[in-house]
Amino acid sequence: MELEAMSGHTSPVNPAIFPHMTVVLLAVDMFFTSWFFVYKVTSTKYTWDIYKELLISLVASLFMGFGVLCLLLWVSIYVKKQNQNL
Amino acid sequence: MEAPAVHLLPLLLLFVPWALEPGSTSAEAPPLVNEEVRRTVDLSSHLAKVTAEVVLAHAGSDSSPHAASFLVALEPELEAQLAHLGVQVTGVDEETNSLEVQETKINGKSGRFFTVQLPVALDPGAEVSVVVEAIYTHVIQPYPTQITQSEKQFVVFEGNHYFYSPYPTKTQTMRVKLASPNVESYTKLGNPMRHNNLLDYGPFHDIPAYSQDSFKVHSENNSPFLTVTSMTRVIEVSHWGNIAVEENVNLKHTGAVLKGSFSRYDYDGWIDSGISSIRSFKTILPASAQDVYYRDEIGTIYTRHLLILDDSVEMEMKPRFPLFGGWKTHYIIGYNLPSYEYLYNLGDQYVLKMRLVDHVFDKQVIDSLTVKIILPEGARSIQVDSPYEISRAPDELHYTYLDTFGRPVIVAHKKNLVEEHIQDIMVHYTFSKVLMLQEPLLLVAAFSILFFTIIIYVRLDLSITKNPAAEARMKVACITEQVLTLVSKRLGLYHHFDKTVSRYKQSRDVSSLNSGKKSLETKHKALTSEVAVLQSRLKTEGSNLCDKVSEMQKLDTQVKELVLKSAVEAEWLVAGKLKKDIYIENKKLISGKRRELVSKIEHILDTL
Repeated sequence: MELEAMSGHTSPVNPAIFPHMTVVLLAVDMFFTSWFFVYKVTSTKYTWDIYKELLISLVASLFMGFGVLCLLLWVSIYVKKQNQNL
Repeated sequence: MEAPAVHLLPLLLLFVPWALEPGSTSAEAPPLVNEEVRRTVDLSSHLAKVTAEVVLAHAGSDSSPHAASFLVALEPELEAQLAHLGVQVTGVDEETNSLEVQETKINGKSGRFFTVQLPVALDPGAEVSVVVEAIYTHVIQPYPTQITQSEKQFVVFEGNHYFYSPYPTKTQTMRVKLASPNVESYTKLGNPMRHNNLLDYGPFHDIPAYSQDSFKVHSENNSPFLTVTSMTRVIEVSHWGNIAVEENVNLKHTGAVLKGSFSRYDYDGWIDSGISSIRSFKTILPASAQDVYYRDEIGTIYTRHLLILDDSVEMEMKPRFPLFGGWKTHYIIGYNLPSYEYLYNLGDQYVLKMRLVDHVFDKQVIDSLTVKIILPEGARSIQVDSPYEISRAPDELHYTYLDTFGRPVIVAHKKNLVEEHIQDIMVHYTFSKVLMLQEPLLLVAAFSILFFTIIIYVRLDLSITKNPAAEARMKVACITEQVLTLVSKRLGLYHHFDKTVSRYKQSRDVSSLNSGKKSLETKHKALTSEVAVLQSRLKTEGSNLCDKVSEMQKLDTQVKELVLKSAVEAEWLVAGKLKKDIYIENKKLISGKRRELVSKIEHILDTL
């Protein structure tokens, strides 16, 4: 494979926006997670709706997953072993 | 007894090449002759750098073949310590090109030989000038081998007065560059000239091939004799835009061993104390290095200075203690690099182009190097292009954050490296971009499992006895909640109908009003019947709330009457049967009554 034909590989997500992405994703996710927990606490045996619960939990875990990944990348863990030192 | 032998040696060698000539050069090889050789032996550091500027001539007749390559030989005593051999030729436009060098074997001769490919084949009678550079490590030995802190370091180098070559040499000179003007002794062949820290030997004429004459010089050398005994370099590649490099370095001072004790008072007080010891050294890192850390087993070492320049990052590192002869230390240095400078890709093909070994300190000597390149999970068809020979160990697997089946690791070893070995290695591999999603999806799956566990856990009824009162209360609460939703829906219907009425007033469309009325009726009937069902359920539960619900139902019928009345009045207004001001008055009355009733309903709902 010719090196000249290739371009430098950049990350699919611009590293400059890691902080903002992290905050936004985690904030949205906290909202969904807290909604889920409040629903769990206030509903009784006869008032629960499984679909609503599953939907909230899925959306919450989706945002939480991407948010935590963004957080790891922001903190320069780059999803690999890296011993940080200040 | 050795003196006569030394004198005999050149005589013996004069005969030997003629006897061996048919065997040393193969039948097809054209006879080459070194016309003029200018050797420089640089002994100013702990490396012996022997540079020979050779004018190579084709001495054959016109019928002999062209010379496409020529041989370079090494002295048998020094050949084991060779770290680097490079040959360059000065082109037409003054640019130097490196020539290809390959190690070969010559029948009947022991020792190492190298074949160098000439850019243009040499015609009979033509000449070409090449520069042969050889770097030897650990050949400059300290003598005396042990010194005290206040003494200076003296070293001995043993080499060859002549240019060791498979071809005879017409004229040659040798210049030795020493570390200091303080020379204890040196061999005198042919009346050498000494000036400052330079020794000039020669010119020597008509020296046959493979000639050796023992050369020895004993001089002062306080330059840092620092050696990296072993080094592990780990390069981790991440497709999220970062390459992390970590080097684990073991250093040793390979000069004269310290005899006696180390006195810190003397060391700090006198400039000349411990003159050959190493206080600090400078490492040059790649220009885009970030987050540089320098630490060892104890923790971070803060005696370091980082200087960020345009084309490099220089780190001046001071180990925790100065290094005297025989002393060792160990440290770890690491930094991050952006991936776009070293990782190239086209579609699924990726190429990593990085230095196999990087600068540790000037005039570095690395005895043993291990390089580990960790590629992202899912990298396949890995091919390695190294600039020089390396020995590869089998690939390993490395597990770290968010890994399921491990990252492939390329392991390579090499011994005896110097600064000239700082060259790029290319690693080709394929990686499908979809695999990058595996990392966030793993996190998402982990969190969903957490949530599902919580859902299941709350569902589980682990109580031993049933509590009937609590159960009844829960059921009632459930029903009232449903009632609330239904009633609010009903009230919403009224609002919706109000809007239809006002629209009718503007558009005068009787049919829309009628359809609105009809839909109100049907929906209202449905909701009321539902509320009635719930009311009966409440009754079966034995709750007193059903009375409140029935009261609310009555109020609701009144509200509905009022709403319908307002619709009728609007119709009359449009038809002209009713005067406007009377209509407005009536409307006010109706809306007042409605508001009262609605507030009463809401009050009841709050108490439910």
